[in-house]
Amino acid sequence: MENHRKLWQRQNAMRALSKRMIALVITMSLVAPQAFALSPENNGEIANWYALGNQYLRQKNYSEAITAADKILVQEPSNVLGYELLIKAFLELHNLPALVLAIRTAQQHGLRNLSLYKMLARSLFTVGGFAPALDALVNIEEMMEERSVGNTLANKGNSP
Amino acid sequence: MIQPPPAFDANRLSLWRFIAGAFIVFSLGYILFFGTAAKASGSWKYIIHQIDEYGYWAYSKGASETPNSEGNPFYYEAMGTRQTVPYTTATLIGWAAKLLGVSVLFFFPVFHIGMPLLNWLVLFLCLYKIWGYPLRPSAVISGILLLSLLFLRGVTYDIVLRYSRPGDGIWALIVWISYAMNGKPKTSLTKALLGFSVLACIWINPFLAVAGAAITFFEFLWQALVSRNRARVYDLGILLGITVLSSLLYIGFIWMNMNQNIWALTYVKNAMNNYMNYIEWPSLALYAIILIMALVHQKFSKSQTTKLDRLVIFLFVLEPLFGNIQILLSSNLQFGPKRYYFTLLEMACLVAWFIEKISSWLHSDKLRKKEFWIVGGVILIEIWILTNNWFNPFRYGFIEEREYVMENNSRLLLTLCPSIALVVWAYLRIPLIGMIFRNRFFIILTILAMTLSGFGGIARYFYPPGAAHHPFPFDQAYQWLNKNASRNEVVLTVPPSELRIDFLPLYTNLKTYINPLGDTLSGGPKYPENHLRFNFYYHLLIASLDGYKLPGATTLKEKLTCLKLDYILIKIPSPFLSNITRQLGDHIREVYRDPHALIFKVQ
Repeated sequence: MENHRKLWQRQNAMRALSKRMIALVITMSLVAPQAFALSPENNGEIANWYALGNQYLRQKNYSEAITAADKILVQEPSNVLGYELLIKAFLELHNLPALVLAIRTAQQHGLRNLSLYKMLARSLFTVGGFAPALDALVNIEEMMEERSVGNTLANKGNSP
Repeated sequence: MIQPPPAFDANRLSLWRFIAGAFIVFSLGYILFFGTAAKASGSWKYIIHQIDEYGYWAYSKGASETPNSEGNPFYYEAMGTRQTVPYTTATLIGWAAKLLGVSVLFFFPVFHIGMPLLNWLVLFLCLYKIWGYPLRPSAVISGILLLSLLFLRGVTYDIVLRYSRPGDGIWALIVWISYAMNGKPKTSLTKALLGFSVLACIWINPFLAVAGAAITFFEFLWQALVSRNRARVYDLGILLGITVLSSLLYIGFIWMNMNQNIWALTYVKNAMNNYMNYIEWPSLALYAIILIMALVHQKFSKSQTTKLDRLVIFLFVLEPLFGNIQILLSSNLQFGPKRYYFTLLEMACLVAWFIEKISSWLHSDKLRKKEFWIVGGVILIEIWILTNNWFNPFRYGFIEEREYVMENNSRLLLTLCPSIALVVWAYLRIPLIGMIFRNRFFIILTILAMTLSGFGGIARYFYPPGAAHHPFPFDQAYQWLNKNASRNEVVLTVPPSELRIDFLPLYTNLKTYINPLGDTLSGGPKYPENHLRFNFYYHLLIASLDGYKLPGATTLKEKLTCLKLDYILIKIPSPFLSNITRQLGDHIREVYRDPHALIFKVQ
């Protein structure tokens, strides 16, 4: 019974985090990215939150690390550093639904960062196995295809 | 007027006409739905539309192999493992394919046309022969109920479209319940059919069998304690005995195979640890409404409890039970979401029950006086439901924006009740509507329209018209592999986009190096072998295999040989091609090339 209670508490904590993630997605959908044309101050603020988030991760204070990611993503919804923090925190919490939600939100915001998806693929495998990791691998394939098509076109443009 | 000859049986002729009509309907549905899939993949061979269906066909393929490998048909290292919980239809089709020497997908059209046809035929014949409803309404209502599953929210269309569960066991449950509620079968053939149906239902889909067992048990109690009908108690006792024996046989089989499948063991363990504690209100509301309606009807009409009353009360008790089972077991174990397996049967019960109740209300002067208010209220509720996206039980224009989500079945049925009640009331109350509903051409047109829009609509959901076509690249490569590779050699299919539904194990006698379902069946990331597979594949794709040390394998040769790998299959052009050739160098040799695919032999 004690185990059940602990599990329940842990799940409640996870649900709370997932809810926060959903709230974050909604906020990001509502807020137009153009409203946050990045100024140098914003860049500095993002760097500060990122450093703070990493510090929280090292201290195993995942809830605060997610808050730091929130702060970054509200300012810039397709910021790779924000997603990196989120993914690391959810990975540590073994929260597969939140990880999957993170990848979908990143896709919705047109985030095409190869190194982020590489990290996601490994994280998703560790938490949920090959089936969820395959989603990230398909994204990697699409990005690499786009890149190779771009290279081919560039080569054609350069050729006499 | 010319009289028909004495041997002429008009009903029998109608029966064959209906069967022919239903065959045409489901064949047309097959062509519409899978034709769209064939158009998207460029071939009728590659038309599996979703991952669960793919898994069941793979189990069939595993069952057709020697040794039987239905436990994990994907991996060479897992050859010979069986399923702990049997997928009987998949296994039987695998054995049939082995016996006939054909591919398991030979049975693809047979199942997808035959399964809904069988369910329709059994529902129709049970309504007509066992429940005693007229022939034509039984046939038409059975068909409309089956087709209407394509129009509901959630995944009820799986009952018509998916191999093999849940459609494969529904016919057996219908026979079982019909006999349990209507008394013992009269001939030896029907007795044998009943016994076989109970056994088949338990073995094909034990989840469905819970409904059969519960209804038989509750009816047994009713006959023993309320009706005190000794003959019925005796018959139902025998039926319960058959149920218990079949269940023991099934449980014994599972017990003997417990060590066979890592997935089954880890699934139950994880599910039990996934602690849940919530009350599901829609199921309680649905059952409360059904009980209130039954009691109010009895009070006003002062009538006896009919067998339909009992059936509805016994069947629908499973809704709150399965919806709230987490309170008893601490985990839902998928009982709640999978209640949609019963939707067809529950809708059939509701239609019959509303016909019985509304026709008796229409004969009661007391209720006729309140008809305006009752019907007016139901119409208002219906308008509210249909205009509210959260409650509307029907798909929005056939294309759902949402993903593959199992709806709350109780909420779906709750929101369907007013539609069913209004249609039944209009049919019985308004002569013009009754006349239109009885018109043969109207019925034919309705069924045709439902077939075209239902199957066509679902096809548009899976294969949106504007989406880019994705021709399957490996058809010729599979033919080459079938000619040149030895049985059970291992192929790594490179493109991740072709791995979700990898047709290789279905169209060749080879094994896959990595597969999402194979990974789940072999225990997922908790098992070191799966880490080896994933890391080899992942680092090969992203060109970091040299720098990554696999456990127990440091050199490239060791990495290639720690798990069996014979061929690498890649589509061309591919962004991964240069990564693979650069990393594997002399260890691979190109052995096949066509305009779409390339095969390397690993040496």
